[in-house]
Amino acid sequence: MRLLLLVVLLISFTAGAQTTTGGAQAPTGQITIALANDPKSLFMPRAPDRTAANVAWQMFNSLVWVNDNGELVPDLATRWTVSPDGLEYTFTLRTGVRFHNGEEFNANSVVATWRTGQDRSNDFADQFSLVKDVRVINPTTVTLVLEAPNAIFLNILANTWAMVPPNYINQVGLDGFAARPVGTGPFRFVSRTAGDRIVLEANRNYWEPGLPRLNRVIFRVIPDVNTRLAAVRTGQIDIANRLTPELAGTLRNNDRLRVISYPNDRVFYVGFKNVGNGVGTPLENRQVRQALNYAINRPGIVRALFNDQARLISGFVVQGNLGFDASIAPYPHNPERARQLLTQAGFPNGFSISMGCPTDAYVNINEVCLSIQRDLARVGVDVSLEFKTSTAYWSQARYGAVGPMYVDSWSSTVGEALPRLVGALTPGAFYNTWENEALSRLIQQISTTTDRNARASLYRQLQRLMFDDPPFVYLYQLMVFEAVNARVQNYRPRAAEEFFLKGVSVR
Amino acid sequence: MLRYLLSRSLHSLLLLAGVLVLVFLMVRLVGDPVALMLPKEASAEHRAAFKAGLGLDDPLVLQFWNYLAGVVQGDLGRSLRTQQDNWDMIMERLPATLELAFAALLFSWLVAVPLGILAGMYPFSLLARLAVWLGFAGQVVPSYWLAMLLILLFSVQLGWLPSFGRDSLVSLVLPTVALGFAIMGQLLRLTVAVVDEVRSSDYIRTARGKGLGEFGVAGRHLLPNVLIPLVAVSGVQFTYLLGGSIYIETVFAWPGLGSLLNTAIQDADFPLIQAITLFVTFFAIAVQLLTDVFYSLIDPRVQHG
Repeated sequence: MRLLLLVVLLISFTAGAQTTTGGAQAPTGQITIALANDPKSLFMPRAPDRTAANVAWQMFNSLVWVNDNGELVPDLATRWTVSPDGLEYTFTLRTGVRFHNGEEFNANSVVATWRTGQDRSNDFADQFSLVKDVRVINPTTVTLVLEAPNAIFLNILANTWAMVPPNYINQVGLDGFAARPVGTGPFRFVSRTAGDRIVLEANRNYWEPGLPRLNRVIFRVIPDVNTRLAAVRTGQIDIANRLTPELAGTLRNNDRLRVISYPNDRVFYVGFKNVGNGVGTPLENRQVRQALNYAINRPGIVRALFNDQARLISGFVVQGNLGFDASIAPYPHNPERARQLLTQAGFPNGFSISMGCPTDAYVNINEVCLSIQRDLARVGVDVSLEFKTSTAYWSQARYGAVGPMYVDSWSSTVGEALPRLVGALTPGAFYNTWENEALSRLIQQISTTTDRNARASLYRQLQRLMFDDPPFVYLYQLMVFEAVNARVQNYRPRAAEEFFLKGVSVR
Repeated sequence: MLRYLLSRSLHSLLLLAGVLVLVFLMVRLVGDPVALMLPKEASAEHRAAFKAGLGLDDPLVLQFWNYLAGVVQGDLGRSLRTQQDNWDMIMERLPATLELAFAALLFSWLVAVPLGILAGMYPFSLLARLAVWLGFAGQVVPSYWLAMLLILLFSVQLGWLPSFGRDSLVSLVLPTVALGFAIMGQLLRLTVAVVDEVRSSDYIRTARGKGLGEFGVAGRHLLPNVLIPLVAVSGVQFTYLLGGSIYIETVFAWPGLGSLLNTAIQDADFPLIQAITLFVTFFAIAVQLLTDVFYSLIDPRVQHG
């Protein structure tokens, strides 16, 4: 507890720092963006898919925002302080901000956001019940009291706590709100046609001067990737996302389009179990786990199945995450070394084991599973594959009877590896399959350390530990491809495939 | 006629009940939808509360009873994913699907009937060869391949037509052709075959003998003969268009029932899958019934007793 030092974040707001130069300019032009699926809901606590969050966040603000550099900056709170025990966050709220329906933003909005957010029918209810109380000090000051210290609480706020107007949400209820959302954000809701389109237009009273720059944003639901490609080629839409590398490759010589690619913050891995059906298996032996890491030909998988459009990883903390240690290189492909390790571990003739594979969940995942099976067979490990649909795969705690090896992936939207570390490696988490005291102690320490630098150093320790005594085989991060019409300016998607349109304009 | 209708209705009811039970059980075989709905980080406690809130932790028999009680009262339940009323969601999407289905059927008739009659009347002409070729192509060309080809040619290369969406009548063209092409092929072959069969029959020869011109023969004698099987086949095809346009609606981002069903299946949205299947089955049965009645009206030989 000694580490719970006094942490005071005092960030004064300077309006000029966030706004674009050039003064107040009337929003002009419109863009059309493809959505790969019809968003589940536009009420943020019910918007677990990235597509829904990307539409919803254009209409809302939270108390804090993560800027393009990954820094936490003021949004509807101008400053905040954290109590020495890390449990109380006191925010000073921005004044003069109004919701799209004219309601004033104040402390009551924070209370309403918290109350409506923790409704158990919401997907993100857990992110709101982290807070056990919201104390209104005065109309512009609130204190959020946490159940337990949480290092990424401000990131969670920025990700899910979209501020709602209390009177309106009381009047229309959660379903009504989801149908016609009202926020303080740069764009306001105009209309939605199910399965077809969502139309937003500029909030001309937006509190950030000079923003937004677009007058209208139209999201079109286009589930088929080939159709998205055709639509962006013909200029019917301006941004097509979730393209495959092959399709994106066909646009390289197109002058009217820019192809953007970046690694998605989602790690693919072969999970091991040392609980449930993993007890008493060879996986409990560290040398066996190291051997499996050496045996799988990951460069070959990335080359053959992803056309080299994926990045090999050395652990759960990846490039771009806080505390990433570039000096740890991924395990090389070395079947000879794998055989040696297996012999040392007492398995000179290998062993037989079962591995789960979520057959419909990810691109080329069946082929990846088959490649792993083939690679492990070459070092004497006989893998029997269990293909399951994603609903069956993820339906039981700790993957039920799947495994004791399984293939899965885990993303993060907070710029840190903490969500996947807690999810996969902390005893008690729904999908925890590996228990290791040193690891879980370190993860616990990271999750309660609010100082960024201290946390970064703990992440580095953790990476080393997870590399030397690997609980999993770390596979790859996939590249994301988007095609953007050249007339679109300042569009900067982030590693979790999220984007904000307030600074985007068109030529 | 009344007895026939009653017996058909009873059969339909049994069929509906069978579909209801089958779909209810089948969707539940695939696993737990909560696994796909909640963020992976969600706690076991939240998962349990969420599941209980949706009634998914009740025993299967109770879930079925609740579902059945709802259906009998006309309540198709609420979508797990959007928490909206399923009936409202279906009604929201139905017009787009009906529009596409009618357009596809119209397209297939407009091509198949005149071309089929002419090809039947002049079996050694160029038109007849075209009809054979088109009829064959309609039956063998996969609709997904045709859809992509149409988009590439008419949207990407020529820039004439939009590649997706339901914006105006123009955006109806490509999905209509892609969806209606297979039916056109079937109707065309059928028309040619019927015309070929009747054109040498005695009454046609008599009609010609009375001095009726070729168009008179076609209009007054061939067409009524062709209509009977065409109506019957179209009735079947129409129900296929309602439930079977999942791929075409998805490719053309057409906001109809097919794309809604596709999303529902991907999300394991049990109540919505059940509701759409039940609705489409009901609709199909109703259309079949109407086709039969219509069939008996245009063909006096059909006796129901």
